[in-house]
Amino acid sequence: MHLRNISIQNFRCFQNTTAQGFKTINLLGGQNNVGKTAFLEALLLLNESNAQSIITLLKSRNVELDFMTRMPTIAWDNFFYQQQNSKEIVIKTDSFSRKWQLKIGILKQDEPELKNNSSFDEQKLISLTKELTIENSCDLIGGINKDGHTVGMYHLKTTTDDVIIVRNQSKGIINTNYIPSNKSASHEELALIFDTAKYEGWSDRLLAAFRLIDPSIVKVDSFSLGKTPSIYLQRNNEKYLPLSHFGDAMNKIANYVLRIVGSNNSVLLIDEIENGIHHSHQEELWSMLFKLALEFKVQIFATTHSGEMLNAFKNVTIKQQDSDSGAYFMLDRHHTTQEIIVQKIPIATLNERIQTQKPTRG
Amino acid sequence: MKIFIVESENDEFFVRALITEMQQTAAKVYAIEEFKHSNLSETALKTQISSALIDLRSINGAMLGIVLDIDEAAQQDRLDLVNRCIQKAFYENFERDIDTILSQTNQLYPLRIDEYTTVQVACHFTNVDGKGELETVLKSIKTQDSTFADCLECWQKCFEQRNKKLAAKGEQGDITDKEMLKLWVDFYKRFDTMKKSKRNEFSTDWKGIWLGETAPNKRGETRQVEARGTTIFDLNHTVLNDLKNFIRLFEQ
Repeated sequence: MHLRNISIQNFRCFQNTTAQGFKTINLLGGQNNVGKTAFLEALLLLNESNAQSIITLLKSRNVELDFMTRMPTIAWDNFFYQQQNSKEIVIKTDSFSRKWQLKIGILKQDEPELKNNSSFDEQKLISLTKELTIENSCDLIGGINKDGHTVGMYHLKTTTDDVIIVRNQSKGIINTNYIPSNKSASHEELALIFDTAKYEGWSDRLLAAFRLIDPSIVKVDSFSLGKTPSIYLQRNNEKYLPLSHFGDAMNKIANYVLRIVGSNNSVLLIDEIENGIHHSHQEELWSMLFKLALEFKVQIFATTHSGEMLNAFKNVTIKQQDSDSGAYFMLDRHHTTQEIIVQKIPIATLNERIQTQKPTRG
Repeated sequence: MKIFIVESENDEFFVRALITEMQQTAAKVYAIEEFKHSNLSETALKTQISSALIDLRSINGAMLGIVLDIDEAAQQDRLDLVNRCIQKAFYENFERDIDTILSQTNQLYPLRIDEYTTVQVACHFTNVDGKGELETVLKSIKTQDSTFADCLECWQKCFEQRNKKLAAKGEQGDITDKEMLKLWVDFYKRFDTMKKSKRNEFSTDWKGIWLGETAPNKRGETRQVEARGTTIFDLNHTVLNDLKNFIRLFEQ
């Protein structure tokens, strides 16, 4: 397990929030707009503190990169609590194998190299950044005024105290996959991950997962019949059909499973995990995720609105050999400060509250 | 907001009726288990405390009262049990230890959750002359003739003559004194205080007796009935003074 806790200051809707007691699989619930998605975003930034994560967050929020060009001085404001960009964002953890603090602040300074650039795109953004390491910082160009005036610069800097480098993570990065609620992975991307999984001998996990939803599926493979590769499924005595022809649940399951088997020792973030999953398959989905997460040492954080999904999670967690392998957290507002509280609800307590119809989701 | 934790649903109905009778402000009452078993489950008590702390965390002026039967236990053993459960529940909820220890019953102690939230906690052990449970109290505060219930003594003599044994706690036997006590209360509410024509599943339901609305039966039916608890039991009896003083703590 990678993270045991997190502290978030001045980021999105979080003024000052801490969460403790993470396990292998962590489910977060709460009312709409209480900060569940932003919580996952904080985890992503903490684990992979680089320009790509910033771009991932912008895309997941449907922020057009063109906005950065047109409104450079406020380009980054929505990352800050109440848009107070004069204060730094601080996200930190103090866990078993990782003591890590990320600070994000706005620096405004001239960037001579960019003054004459009139265009701006994602590739240029990436090419202007340096890989984030614990030694140096990453300068991410936020917005470029076409007239070459002062640009808004997103300066990512890490400070560490007594950092313990996780084995094979010498650059201090934990590989983190983020699955937003409103975005699907491209079929090409899934097929490429599948090919790696097949090469390493893990593709049977995906077939087993598909069969939870549709037991008639007997084979899964990838083919490049068009321009790009795709995953194909075959039912008994039928021809292969592309994954895109199957329901949303199958596509989601492919995404979840491949992110786990394709990334040993990583973190997986799933927003609104219940989307597309019929209630009759929810316990099976959780059982599969527990099994894979433990096998591939992947820590999972997921959010949900669904009482059924929560109940299924609770039932499966109770049955685990290590009943400590899952944890549920309810996000809510503090009665006095209105700050967001991340309240852990022990599984036995969650079980009692569900049975007696007490609130479990804020 | 105040929450009381009690051992069983019957305790819950009784406490709620007592609060109403005392004209105290309404409180939530959480029952540890539906029916009281012979030994109080430490895990179940801890879970209920954990649940109450989650509800009280979001509230200003939160108060938590724990009401347990003393049974045959020593008061200190019960206090130790309560303290263990509070500490475990607190740690599981908030991932840190607490210093607060309840060293006495019927006294409020502050349980600090964060800078702005402190829960006042107290516990009370139901007893008559230092022993017993809710049914012991109910037997003491009956208001009507209890011939049918009292004749259980003869039944006891009858089965003892036939080599069946009444067992006290910890002893071997065929029926326990706790079961006899529950039978006494059941006979009283069913046979001594109700005419034959009126006895049915609804009129003998404890929730109905105390609160005027019965618990759902197997078919999910509930009914409004006469809340006759205050007629057949004396809620002004001195035996209840300690419990009432405990409840009054939560009106601060």
